[in-house]
Amino acid sequence: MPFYLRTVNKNRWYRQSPPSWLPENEIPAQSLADVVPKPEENLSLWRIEDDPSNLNRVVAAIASNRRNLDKLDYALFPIAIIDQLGLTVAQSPGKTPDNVANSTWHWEIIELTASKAVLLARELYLSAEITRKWPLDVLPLIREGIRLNHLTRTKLHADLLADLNQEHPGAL
Amino acid sequence: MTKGRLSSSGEENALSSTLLSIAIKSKNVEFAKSSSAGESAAIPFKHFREPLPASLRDYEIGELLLAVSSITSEGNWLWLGNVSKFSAHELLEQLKAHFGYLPSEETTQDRPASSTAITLEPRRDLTGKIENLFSFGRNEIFEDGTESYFSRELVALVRKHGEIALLDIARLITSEKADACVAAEALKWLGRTHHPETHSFRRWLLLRALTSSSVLVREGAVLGLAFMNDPATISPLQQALEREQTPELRDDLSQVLRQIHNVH
Repeated sequence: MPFYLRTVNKNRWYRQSPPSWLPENEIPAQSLADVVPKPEENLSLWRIEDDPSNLNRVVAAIASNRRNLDKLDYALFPIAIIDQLGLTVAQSPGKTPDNVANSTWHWEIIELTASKAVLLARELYLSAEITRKWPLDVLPLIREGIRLNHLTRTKLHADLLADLNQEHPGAL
Repeated sequence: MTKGRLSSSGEENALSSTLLSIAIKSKNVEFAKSSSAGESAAIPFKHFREPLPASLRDYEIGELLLAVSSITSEGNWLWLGNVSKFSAHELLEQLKAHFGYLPSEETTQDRPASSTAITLEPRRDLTGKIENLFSFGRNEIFEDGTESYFSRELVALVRKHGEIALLDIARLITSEKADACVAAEALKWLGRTHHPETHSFRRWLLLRALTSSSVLVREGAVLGLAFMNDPATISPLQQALEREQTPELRDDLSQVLRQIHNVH
């Protein structure tokens, strides 16, 4: 079954070491921050094949849309969760330097209410796979994306291009 | 005027040079070496720009710098014995032992003729700027892959003032007076900043922050160390891994260790 990828901040999802005050069957409120869209925006998701053959390309697309090289934390969850929670998704054009990724794998959760956002956060807290890609993991993915012409180089920020020209993150 | 005073027998070793170079870098230093005849003679700066000896551990250097910084920012006089005879660790102990000892200004007349006296102007402008920046940072939302006003200004201050700025940053972070989110953001950017002149001190601060009581701060330090990618951090990272209680951070530490091993 395919997955959806949602970028998050890993330190909001420390499930193995929850706060001591957290009641059973509750989640920390901080997790909500990763499932609340900005005003007049929807909640961005990326569809990942079940193999997952397009995962690294999507990661490169997201990372290359930033100003600086940085870590990239994401949650992966089965697409069935969307239906289970009664959420509505729609395909929409992404805004990364990868045109194919933008038009093929970018989706959004639309009409997301506060109560449904809580349900989504809770489900992600319980079952999503949270992964951190370190800067040194992200770096070769972006370089490869440029080499394969997946990424339009001219759409990358100058600061990020400068980062890519360094030998390794420690030389940034 | 804020004054710090160190005395030595005139011997020059790398450690006292380290201390003196800090003073010189503060730019507002009055520097004089009293000869036996009571005359003052400038000491060429080149004596104090030697590389740090490899025998000094980052920990010792960092603690030393912090201690000296505390003294000068408190506006106290400090009398030390023969600095040149101390190891970094011994000097640190001396600094701690003497901290708060406030001989009156008049006692300077009693100093040995061969002593070296250093007067440091207060760094209040810079200290205030850094404290304000950390306060301002509390109102910012930090996003991965994006510069913030805080990070931009922080890096600019480090580039401009070097270790002098880092002293204030280190004091805010190690005292845990800084907001944890802001401290974590600072550590990440300190790790990714290319500035060879302050590499050793930044590395020490990142490693020191691994002992913070805040998980967020420790995570920021791990991320900064991942950027820094310095093989000299392997051993302290392993020690941090052994004492880390948060499973997610243990994973992070393991991954950074693997990364450094793979690259070097």
